[in-house]
Amino acid sequence: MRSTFAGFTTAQLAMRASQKALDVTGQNIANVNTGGYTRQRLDLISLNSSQGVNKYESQFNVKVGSGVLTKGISQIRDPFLDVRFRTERANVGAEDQKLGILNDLEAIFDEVSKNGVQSQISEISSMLQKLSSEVGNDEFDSMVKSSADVLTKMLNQYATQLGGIREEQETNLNIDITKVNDIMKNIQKLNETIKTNNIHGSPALELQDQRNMLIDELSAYVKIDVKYNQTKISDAITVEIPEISLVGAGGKLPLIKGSFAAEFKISKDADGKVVASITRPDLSTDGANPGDPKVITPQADIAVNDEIISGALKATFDMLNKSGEFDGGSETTRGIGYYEKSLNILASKLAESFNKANQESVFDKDGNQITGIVADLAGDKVTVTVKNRNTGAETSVELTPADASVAKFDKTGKLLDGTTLAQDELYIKKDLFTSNDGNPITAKNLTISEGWNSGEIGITASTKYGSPLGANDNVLGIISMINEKQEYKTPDKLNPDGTVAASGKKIFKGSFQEMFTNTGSVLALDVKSTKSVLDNYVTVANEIANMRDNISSVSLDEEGMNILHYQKSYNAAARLMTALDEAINTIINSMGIVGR
Amino acid sequence: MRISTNSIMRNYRGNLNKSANQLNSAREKVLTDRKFSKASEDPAGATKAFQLRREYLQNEDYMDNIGEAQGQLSATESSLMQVNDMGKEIKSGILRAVNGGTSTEGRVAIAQNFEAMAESMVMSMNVKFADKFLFGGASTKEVPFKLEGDTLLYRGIDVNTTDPDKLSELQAMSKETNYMDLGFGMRKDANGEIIKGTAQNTSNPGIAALGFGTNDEGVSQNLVTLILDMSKELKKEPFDQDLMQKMSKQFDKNFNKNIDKVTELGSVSKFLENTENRLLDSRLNLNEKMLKVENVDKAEAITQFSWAEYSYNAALKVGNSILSQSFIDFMR
Repeated sequence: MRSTFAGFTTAQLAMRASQKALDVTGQNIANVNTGGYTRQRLDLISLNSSQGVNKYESQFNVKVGSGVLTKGISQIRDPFLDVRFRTERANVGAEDQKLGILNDLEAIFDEVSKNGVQSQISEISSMLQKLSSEVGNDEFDSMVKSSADVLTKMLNQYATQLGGIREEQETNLNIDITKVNDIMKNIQKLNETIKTNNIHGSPALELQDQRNMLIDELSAYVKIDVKYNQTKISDAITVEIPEISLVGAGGKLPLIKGSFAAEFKISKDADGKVVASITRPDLSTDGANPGDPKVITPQADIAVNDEIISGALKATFDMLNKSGEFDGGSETTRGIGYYEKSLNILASKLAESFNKANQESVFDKDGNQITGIVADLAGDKVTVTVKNRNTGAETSVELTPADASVAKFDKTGKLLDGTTLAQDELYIKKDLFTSNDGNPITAKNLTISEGWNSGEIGITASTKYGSPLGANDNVLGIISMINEKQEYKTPDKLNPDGTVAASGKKIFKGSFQEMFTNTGSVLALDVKSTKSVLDNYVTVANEIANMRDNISSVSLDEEGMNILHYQKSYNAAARLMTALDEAINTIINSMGIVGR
Repeated sequence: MRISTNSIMRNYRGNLNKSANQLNSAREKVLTDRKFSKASEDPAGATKAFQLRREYLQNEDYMDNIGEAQGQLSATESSLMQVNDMGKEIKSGILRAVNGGTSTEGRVAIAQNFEAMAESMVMSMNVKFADKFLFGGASTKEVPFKLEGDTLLYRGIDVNTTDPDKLSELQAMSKETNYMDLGFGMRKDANGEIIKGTAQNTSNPGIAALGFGTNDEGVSQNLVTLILDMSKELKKEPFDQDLMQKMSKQFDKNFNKNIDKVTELGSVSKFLENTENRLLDSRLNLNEKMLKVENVDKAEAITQFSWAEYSYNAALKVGNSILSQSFIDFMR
């Protein structure tokens, strides 16, 4: 048996469903340009309330369903693609950040299009060549001095610029950390809001889209893992609550769980290295069950330097903290520290070599060079090793205390009869380079010595005994020293008491200019390889982004078709309504009026 | 597979960007004429370029030095030629004087001439070039020869000294070297001395040219003092023929030594000329190499640029057709 007005409900439900579907299509079209928007779809189920068993059932009773019900709106999204995208995004973020910093370094070291340290050292060599045939003319010594001065200022400038980059990156790191903390806080707030909405029946799809965008942003900074936990609120309602953890070298560290979000913190340790740590409350008893007020007890900060294995933050930490070969061990990442330290050992080697080449020998009264000294304080005598100027043979001579007197040198460096010498007085020091702050020489504090600057000392033209003004053997010596291959080693690791714990490793053998070229080409190769790695990652990330969009994003063609589709079904439902109306009309107005 | 509007846009944007980047780098190559403007674009090429630049600058230094050396050499040569000319005159003077036919007055005149020429010789040997004394050996700022009465001092030491210490000093001075780097691979040995053959010795100690000490016959071996001795003898009445003979023999020896020295300088001059040519060739070679490493072939660069421009325009045109139509445009 059929009720009279049964069909009307069907038609009405049909029209409502079509209208709803048109609304959804409208929403999709309106949001085609919205970032992160996932296309929505209306879920329809067929309504059949006449299911069930009747006690008295006739085989000629046909049960027809009574319409369509809108079950809800859902998103079309592939969670697996999300995971893949976020992994790639972390890689892209890391390489991109690293490339940015390397490009900054390149602006300093690249000398292809500018005259830098290498051409300046050639300039010093040229000036020395001119001096070699003009010994005794002070203006040529001044020219060497000016060139050397320019070189020290250049090295100072490079070192300052490197320091500037380091400071800039530390500031950027702080900004990034603030951003990351903000994102995590926002995600956590969204979690709360979405959960509340879900409990009250609304799917909150737009909020979910927002949350996904924030998670995508977060994945560029660190490598994360997102897990959706199905939590039972009551017997009838289960809601999905995501848990976001940091994927570290030693496992997963929860960052956002339930109603709590962790915070990153940056600090500097004693060596000047940047240390990252996470602050979060004790999450083992957290509000995974809402309505369960727990006391929040903050835990001690957890250091996470080693746990951050991917993402833009890792790149920044590496570039700030790691120095490649200078860290000892098998470290291969060369951060800002590598270039700072390379410049430093170049500067100190330059100063050391020039100063050593410029020192004058000490001769005894016969013109023999003094090459060694042994003081026997117990036996009260001093033994001096003398190199005979004609034969080159070395003999030892004893000076008794009776000969001892204040060390005296005459103008040509001749040692006067019977003096005592300190170990470092075997050469008359004529330092050309020194540091301007009393500390060991680095690229930042390298400068011309005061003596050279004031003209008190100059380039030592000759180190031979009794050579006349005009001899240039030492000038030529310095010229050939500039082209000699020197060994560059990382500094020795010292114990706290000053003894050597581990001796330095050799990192390069070559002349000054070759050393600088080497540093520059290490950097250039790093830039080149980072660029191509980044290109690869970007290509893959774009591929995955395309795949993601192909599933979740709006296609105008499709929506256009949907408009037609639902418009037609609306028309059809309206026609049905009209037809039913006419049928009832026939019953009401046209039946049983015979004979009226 | 479903294609969404977003993915079309993303792909188009990315590819257009790539095309624009290629166009930009092609344009840069044409404008700057360089294969690379940063070391990271071609690390191996950059390292090679730096090395070539270094070598080129060193080559320029050597060329400057050779110019200096050649100037010095020609001044030295002309001084020695002057001494040579004077020597010839003295030689004819000796012949006239020794020949019995000359009267006392004639001999005195010759003797005075000799004295004047001896002084001239000293002046020739004290000549300066570019603010340096040419014949001082390693000493370039101190006047080498000083004539005090009848004694000739070389850097403060009497050239006819009999003191063995001073003699060995003179000996050392006559062998003094003063080097110039002309690109022969200058190197020092273990004692800190420049290895012979790796640099050019430009010193010509006057004491070696004129001679020093006395020979076994008691005659001065120094050209100037010998001439002065001869003039003294000629003024005496009567003069010792025998002594004059001995002195004349020694004079001939010295005169020939001088000619030898001039010849030697001639071959050094030739050597320097060859070296200069070699350095000029080096300069050309290095220039060529640098161009090959650092500069683009202009024609190739312009071709690349035209092609990149064409690709970019094509991409722009395609974009217009991708982005316009969708189903909605065709709905009624």
